[in-house]
This record gives sequence, structure tokens and C-alpha cells, in this order.
Amino acid sequence: MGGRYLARRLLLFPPTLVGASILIFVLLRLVPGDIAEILVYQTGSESSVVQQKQIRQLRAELGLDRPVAVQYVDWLGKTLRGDFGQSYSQKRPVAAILKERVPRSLELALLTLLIAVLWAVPLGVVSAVRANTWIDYVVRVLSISGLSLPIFFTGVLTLYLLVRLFGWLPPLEFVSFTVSPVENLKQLIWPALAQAYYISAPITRLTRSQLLEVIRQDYVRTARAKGLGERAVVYRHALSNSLLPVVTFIGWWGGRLLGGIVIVEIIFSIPGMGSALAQAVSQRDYPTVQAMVFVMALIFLTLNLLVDLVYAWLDPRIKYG
Amino acid sequence: MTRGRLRTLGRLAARQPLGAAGAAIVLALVVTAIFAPQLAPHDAKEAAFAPYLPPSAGFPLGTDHLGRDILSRVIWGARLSLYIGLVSVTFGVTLGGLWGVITAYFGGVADSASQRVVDVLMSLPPIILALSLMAALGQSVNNVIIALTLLLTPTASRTLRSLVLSIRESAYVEAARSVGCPHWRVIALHVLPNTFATYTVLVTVNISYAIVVEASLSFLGLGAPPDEPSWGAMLTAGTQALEPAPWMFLFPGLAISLTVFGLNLLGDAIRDLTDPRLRGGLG
Amino acid sequence: MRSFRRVRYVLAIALALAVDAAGAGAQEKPRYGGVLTWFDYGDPGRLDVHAESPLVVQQATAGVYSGLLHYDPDDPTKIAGDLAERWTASPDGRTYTFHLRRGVKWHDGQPFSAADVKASFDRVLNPDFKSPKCGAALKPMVASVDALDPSTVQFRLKFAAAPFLGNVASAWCRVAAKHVLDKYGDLNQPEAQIGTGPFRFTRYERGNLIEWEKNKDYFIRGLPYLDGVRQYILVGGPTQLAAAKAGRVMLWDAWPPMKKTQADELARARNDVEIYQASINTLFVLYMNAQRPPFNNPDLRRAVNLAIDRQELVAKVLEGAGVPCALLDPKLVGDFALPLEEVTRLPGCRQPKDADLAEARRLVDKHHPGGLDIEVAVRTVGNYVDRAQLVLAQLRKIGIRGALKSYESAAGYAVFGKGDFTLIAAQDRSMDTPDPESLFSVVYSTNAGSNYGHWSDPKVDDLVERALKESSRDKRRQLYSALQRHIFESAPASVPVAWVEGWFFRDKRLMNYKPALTTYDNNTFMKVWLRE
Repeated sequence: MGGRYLARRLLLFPPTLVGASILIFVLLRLVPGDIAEILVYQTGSESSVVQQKQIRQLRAELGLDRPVAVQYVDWLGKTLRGDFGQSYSQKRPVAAILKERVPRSLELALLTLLIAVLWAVPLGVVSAVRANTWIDYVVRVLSISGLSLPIFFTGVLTLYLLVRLFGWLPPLEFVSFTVSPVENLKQLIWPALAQAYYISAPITRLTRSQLLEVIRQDYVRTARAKGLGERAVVYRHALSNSLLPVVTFIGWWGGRLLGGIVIVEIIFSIPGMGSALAQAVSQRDYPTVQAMVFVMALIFLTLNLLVDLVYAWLDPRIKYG
Repeated sequence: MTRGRLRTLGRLAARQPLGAAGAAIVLALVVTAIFAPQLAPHDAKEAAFAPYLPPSAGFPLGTDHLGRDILSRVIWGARLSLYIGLVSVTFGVTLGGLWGVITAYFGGVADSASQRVVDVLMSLPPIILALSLMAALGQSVNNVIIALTLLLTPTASRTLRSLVLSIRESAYVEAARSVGCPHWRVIALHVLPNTFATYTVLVTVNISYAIVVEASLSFLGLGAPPDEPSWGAMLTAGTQALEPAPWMFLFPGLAISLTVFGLNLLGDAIRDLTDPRLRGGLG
Repeated sequence: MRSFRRVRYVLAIALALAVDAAGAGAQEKPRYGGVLTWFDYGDPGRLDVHAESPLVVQQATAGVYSGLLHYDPDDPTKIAGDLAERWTASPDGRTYTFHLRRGVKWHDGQPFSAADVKASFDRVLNPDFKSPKCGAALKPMVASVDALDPSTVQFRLKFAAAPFLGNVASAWCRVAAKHVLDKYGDLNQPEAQIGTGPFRFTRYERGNLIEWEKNKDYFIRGLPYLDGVRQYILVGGPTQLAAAKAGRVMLWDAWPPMKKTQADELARARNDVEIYQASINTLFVLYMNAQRPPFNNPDLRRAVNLAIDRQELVAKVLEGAGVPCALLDPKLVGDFALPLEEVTRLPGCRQPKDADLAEARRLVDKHHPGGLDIEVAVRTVGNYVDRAQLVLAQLRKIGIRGALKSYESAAGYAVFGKGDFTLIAAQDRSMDTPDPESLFSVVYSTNAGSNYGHWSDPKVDDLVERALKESSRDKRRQLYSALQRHIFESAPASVPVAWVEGWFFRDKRLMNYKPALTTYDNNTFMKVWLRE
């Protein structure tokens, strides 16, 4: 494990980021309508002659009349120099939007993961230790039920029940953690719970199956043969080993979570990256979408790298050349 | 079916009661989907009745906001949702899986190049990928399938690739190759059979994933065409009337839950049964 | 019916308040203080009221600015002076002179003058400047704007345009400060929100909330009563309803209206609100593409005009909240609209529909003996898809088999704008100003911006033009009557299905709030106050 491995992994970042940005760039331009057409047609108040003129004007203003390849190279060049450009829909630097939104979504994702892990890993352990007993069945049914309800439904139901049962709704005004942790958590805990319920299911299942697998391996048998108590076997030997794939999985999900929060952010009106991204897509705000997807991909790759490093650190058997 | 087979099935069910339950649910679903035209009492798309009727003898699951029979829509929805799930997963997991198997088996430049493609697809947030894809292609059942396939392919490819990497190094594959067995034979006889358990689990788990993602796309207004009786679209309509018409969300919600349950339990059971290391209980 | 579920119409509100037990407070002495809370259905993003068209932009900035004129907060059906103290028109109706209030200050302390008015109107009238509401309404009629002295502004018109004053009073024709425009170039950013209105723009948390604070130097002494206004940005329907039920918002009077079921749910959760049914000043239109088959054939357009059951659509999808058939809604434009008794007897509108359906089927059969298959487009917004499904069922009855093609909201606009469709099942069009002109020049003229089907009828163009330039109200009324009758008779490609209404609520503590005829006007809250 050393600098060479890290360097090799980091070398893979640029091609992946470029690939991801090309994909989203092309995809966005396949979606019918650019911002010029949408702005003009959705208003629909001016005569059709004026409309055509305005569309041409807006496109020229935003550089949308250039060939797509030129637009991409221009965008990439600027991005590499750290300039994400101007948002079409907010008429201010995309960097300012990112600075506002990214930390909020990161916080929500982190909170979700924290809740999910704290709840899912112990359940998975219980389920494995008591495999094929009623406890195991209850845990498995509970965790699958989380997978079976779409997040939008759990979210809407949560809001409804909070109002119905307590006549209470999380604060509508977003307060950042640094200003008031309590107010901030009052707001974020619910979307985090709704999401954690969903993603905890695979974590529970993975913990269970990994633990079952490890428990049957030789060193555990040895430990057991040495007369160590069941508890010690499970917790001291089996668990630490079985958690490795779980860590990988969590890292991988954590990256995806950032994209999945579109829906909870809308439902719980959290002004994060997800809701901004959905809005930017619907308004064809190309620079904002591209920058956000770029950042999300970067976070995803970094997280995966971190997970691999943690993995290597946890498991001395793994040697990277 | 012979008595012996029945007894084997019975033993399997006794050892995997959850798996047996899962299998029963999946079977019931498939039957419902196949016989939807015979089972559904009314037209699923025609708004022929009074809106918001609570469940009654005439409409066992009530009617929705437009006056359509929910039972008929749930039944037709089984067909649509299973269709979307099955086709997208078959394409996504099978093609993605084969892709992973072949590139991993041969390794080299093709493998690392294909892994970069997988990296790219996986680094994009799935819901954003699906959202922009649906907006670009337009809303149709087949386009939902295309979007879902694109979401499923990279994961399947990566999962099976890592599996094949270890199979490739195993003694029997080495042996087969050393006696001059052609590659396609090695793959077909020695590699593929060993991926079967993982493949089956991927399929069962991802069908439910596909159904849930389709529902989420419906919520964002970009799922299957909204007049189609998809469970996701019904659930979305149900969230607009949680209190006045709870039957509108309850029944499609139950249908989705049952399906996901059934498939996951079945998947778990298959994995437990086919993976020799997992046989038997613990302590 | 319980008192808090009283159903009322906008125009009846003034009258209703007098009899309404809860409205007894109208005679109470207004109380100072309190913050009004309501919500925007989306994030405005850009705040330039001259350059944008979404309602949320208006909601976000309404109380910050003043107009030259506005719709009177005490009676929003009337035009009143805002920054203009009084005005005179020349006998030929082509020159208007506005005398401005003196001593008015911008929120940053700078003095207001005629130069600001000129700068604002020159900006929206600039042919190269996209001003979809104020500019679109005024450009055809205004020739020039001049500041005669620091407190007098003169508008010269191209012709004596009857809707001129109404257009100037529109909430989209706000007066912005010349020095602010010079400094920022536009009004998009929060720091450029410097007006002369009753409230200062103090906070914009994007995607989350907008706040105004009382302007203590407001030019009308003693106003506003409120300490501030706070609007949350709530995107999802379930979220909006949850906020209303939990008592986080005091007012729901903008787009989207509540559905009947939502209104009932709210009524069960809160007894401190008054729920009412009101118009959202929006016409539900079904468009056919007159430029391509099959609807370039007038017979088929006539068949669809006959087949659409407006009453069923209103009853089932609008849950009874709508005025079927009308091209103009008498509630909104008074006697400019044909009487509903006349409209509902016309072919296509009359009930029962048997005769009309038979005739429609005959027309379809004549050209397509086996019936025909078409694609029916719709944007997946609000209840459009529900409406479309009912339209499909109605068209099937005359042998037109439609397949639904749904579009993501913005993609739909792009496709419709380019005329790339056969039939659009449902598309709402709101009036920019309460003048009938606003509807016809936007939907029915040949070059109208929302004439997606590109239907062209010389007589329509002629009547629209003549009504616009006619200054006698009575003659205008006659012209608009003739125009409506002509459109009904001539199988239009834009079928007027119904004027859309919906359910709204306001907190019973909220006093002196009077909804205007368009959703855009009278959102300044300058005279609104909160009871203890």
C-alpha cells in the first residue's frame, strides 16, 4: 500500500470525470427544448415573430448557437481552470450555487448514513446470530419492507403523520448546522430517517450474510474450539472481518445517496443540491447541471477511493502494489 | 409432479419458510399478470364510475379520483410492473452480467477500458440519469425500460466481474485452460455455472428495485405514460388524497410491497440454498 | 355547510364580507404588527419583474415596488393611482399625462422622480428587451415616454388604445429606480430589489424562503400594517398541504389551487381558516394543429368542437370548479363576456350531447370511415393528465382514437411552441391583465404567442384589432360579442373548454385581503392586517 497505488487511482479520476461530463452534456442536449425556447414559449404572450427573434437573441447571448462540440470544449476548458460559468436560471456564478447547496446535501447524506448504519448493522448482527429463528425473520421482513416503499411515499407519509398525530411540521425555514444545530436537526432528521429506512435494508442483509459466511471460516472455528464464548467469537473475530464488504457497500451507497436525495429534498423542502439539480434540469440550466453532476461524480469517486483505503487499513491481508 | 419431488419441495419449504412464502407470492403475481384480462372486473383506464368510492362489494378496493376501479388497475398494474421489471432486469442484469463475465475472463485492455465505462455510468447519480434520459426519450413504457436497463447494467457488470476474477484464478479453470479447452467452453462450462447464484440474487433484488424506481419516476412526472395503470403512478395519485381516500395509496402500496417482499425472500432463499457455505444454521 | 367552508367567488367577496360573520372585522380598527406567511409554488431564481413571466417572480417582489397605477387594494376591480397622484388623457386619447407623488424615496434613500418612470418604461418598451408581460402588453400601443419635469410623465400612444390604463396598472409594469438599473443592469439579484413599495426586500434564501420587512418610509403614511411578509418556497403538493394544515401558512391564494379533497382535509384540520372557491383567471384550452392533417380540415375541427363535453370535464376533473364553455368569464370581465345562458345553448356546449355527438361522428365518418388514430399530447403538470384521459374517452365516442403522449413540463412548451403536435388535450392560459384583449391577442390572433395550433382567421384578426383601437366601451363590448360568436361558429383550433377555478383559503385573522381579478395583481399586502 503506498503512494503508487494512490497515484494510480487518482489518475483514473480525470477520464471518468470527463466521461461523465460528456454523457450528461449529450443527454441534456437530447432533451427537447433549450432555455431560450422554454423561456419564450412558456410565456407565450408575445407575437410569434417576436418569439423567434427572442429565441435567436437568447441563444446568441448564451452561446447556445455554437456547435455542441465547441460548447463542450469551452465548458471543459473553463471547468478545468476552476470556472463553472454563470447559471442560466439564476444569472449568477454556478460556483456560488454549489457553495450554498453542496454542504447541505452532504450533511443530509451523512446523517442518513449515520442513522442507517447505527440501526442496520446491529440488526444484521442479531439476524445472523439468531439465523432462522423468529427474530431473524422479523428483522428480515422489517428490512425488506424498507426496500419496498418508494422514498417519496415514506416521505409524504411522514409529513402527513407528523401533522396528523402531533399537529407539528418540521421548520420550513432552513437553518444551517453552524447557526443552530438543534433547529437544523429538527429539519433534517425526518428526511434522513425516511431515506435511512430505505437504504438500511441492504446494509442489514449484507451484514447478516457476511457474518454468516465468516462465522463458518476456519479461524472462527478455531476460536470457538479454543473455548471462547459465543459472544466473544462473534464480536471479537467475526464481526470485524465481516464488516469489510459492508464498508465498501456503504461507501458506494453514500455516493449514490447524493443523487437520490432529489425526492426527499423536494418533499421536506430542503434547499440542497438535489432539489436544485432537479430544478436546473427542468429549466435546461446546462452550466448548473453540468457542474453539479461533475461535483457529484467527484464526490462519488473520492468516497470510493477513501473506502478502498479504509479497507486496506482495516484488512492487513490486502496489499496494493 | 412425483411424490418424491413434492417431498423435496416440502423439505425445502420447511428449511426456508420465508423463501417458500416468497415463491408463493411471486407465483401468485405471475398468475395475476398473465390472467389480468380475465381477472380484472372492469376496464383499467375507463373513468366509468363515481370518484373516490370507498371499498365496497361492487368495488372491493374502491375507485380513484377519476372514478376508475382500483382492483382492476392493481391487477393490470401487476402485468405492467412485472413487465417493466422483468424486461429491464433481463436486459440490464443479463447483458451487464455477460459484459462483466467476458471482460473479466479475458482481462487486459478490454477489461480496464470497460471498467472505465462502468465507472462513468456509476458516478452519475442514478435518479438524475433516469430523469434526463426520460425527458430526452419521452415517456413510454419502453423508454422506462431503457432507462432502467442503463441503471442496472453497470452494477451487474461490476458485481459479476469481481466474482469472475476470483473464479478465473480457481484451480478448475486453470486446469481446463491448461488442457487446451477453448475459451467459450471454459466460460460456458466452468465460469457461468459458478455465477448462477449471484445472478439469480441480482435478478430478484433488481426487479423490485426497478419497480420502486419506476414509482419514483412517476412521482417526478417522468414515469410510464400516466394513463397506464402502473403501481407507481397509482401510488403517486394516492399521495394526493392520503386522508380522504386512503384506499388509493394503500392497495398499490401493498401490491408493490408484496412484490418486493416476495422477490427478495425468494432471492435470499436461492442464495442460501445454492451457496454451500451458508447451509445450515448457526450454533 | 359549516361557516368556515363557505364557498365564494372573488367578485362577490366585497359583498360577502359585509354579511360574513367572520368579516365583521372589516369595520374594526386595523391593528399594526405581525408577519404574514404564505408560499410560492417554485423558486423564482431571477427576480426581474420586467423581464420574467412566472407568477412566483410577481409573488417574490410584489410588495417591494409600486406602479404608476395599480388595481385598488380596497377594490381590485378598479384602477387607482399608485406613484401617480392623478392623470389626464388628451381628447384624442393618444396622450396621457401622469402627475407623480412628491417626496417619495427609494428604499435606499434616493429620491424618486419622473426619470425613474421613464427609465423603467423605456426599458420594457425597448424592442430588443424581452419583456413578456408589461412589454408585450404595452409595446403595440405606446410610441414614447417622456419626463416633462421631475414630477410629470407623458405617454404618447400609437393609437387610442382602450386597454392602456389597465395595462399600465398591471403588477408587471412596476417602476424601478434608474440608479439601480444603471448600477446592476437588471433586477435579477436580491440586492437590486430596491423599490418604493410598502415593504423592503430583506432576504432571499434560494429554494427556501423570501422575506420582506415593513418600509417605515412608505409614501402612504400609516401603511403598511404588517411588520413583514414571509414566503416559503414549497414545491410539492403534499408539502404545501402539510404546511397549511400545520398552520405554517396563513394564505393560499395563488397557483396551484387546492383540490376539493385537499380543501376538505384542511377544513378538518383547521377551523381558523376560511375556505373559498375562486377563479384563477385561467382558460383551459384544447388545441388542435390547424397546420397539419387531420385538423387542417375544418370538418374535423368542428367534430372535436362538438364532441368535447365541457360540463363533464368540469364536473369530473375540475371537481365542479369551473365555468364550462365560456370564451370569456363574466365573473372576470363582466358584460364583455357573452351571457352564459347564450353560450351554454351553442352546439358543442348544449346538453344533452346526443345530437352534437351524432353530427360529430358523421363528420369524422365522412373523411375517415373507419375512424382515425391520432397522438394526443399533454404536459405532465397538475391535473392535465387527468383531463387528457377524459378527453381521450370523449374523442373515442366519435371514432377518434387517441394515444397519450406526455411531455415533461418544459419539453412540452418547446414542442408546442414549434407546432410539433396533433392535438393538445389540456393547456391553461392565464390572462395577463383583466382586459378581454389579453385573451384574444394571446390565443386567437394569427400571430398570437399561445396560438399553438396556428389557426388563422382574418375576421378574428380584424375584430381583435378593431376592439383594441376602439375607445368607446359600448362599441368594444359589441365587437367582443361579435368576436366570441364568430369564434364559436367557426370551429376554432383552440377550443375553450372552461374557465378554471379552485379552492383557496385564508386565515381568519387575515383582514382586508382582497384577491384581484388576475392572480398577479394586488399581492402587495399594503393594506392587509392581522387580527389578534
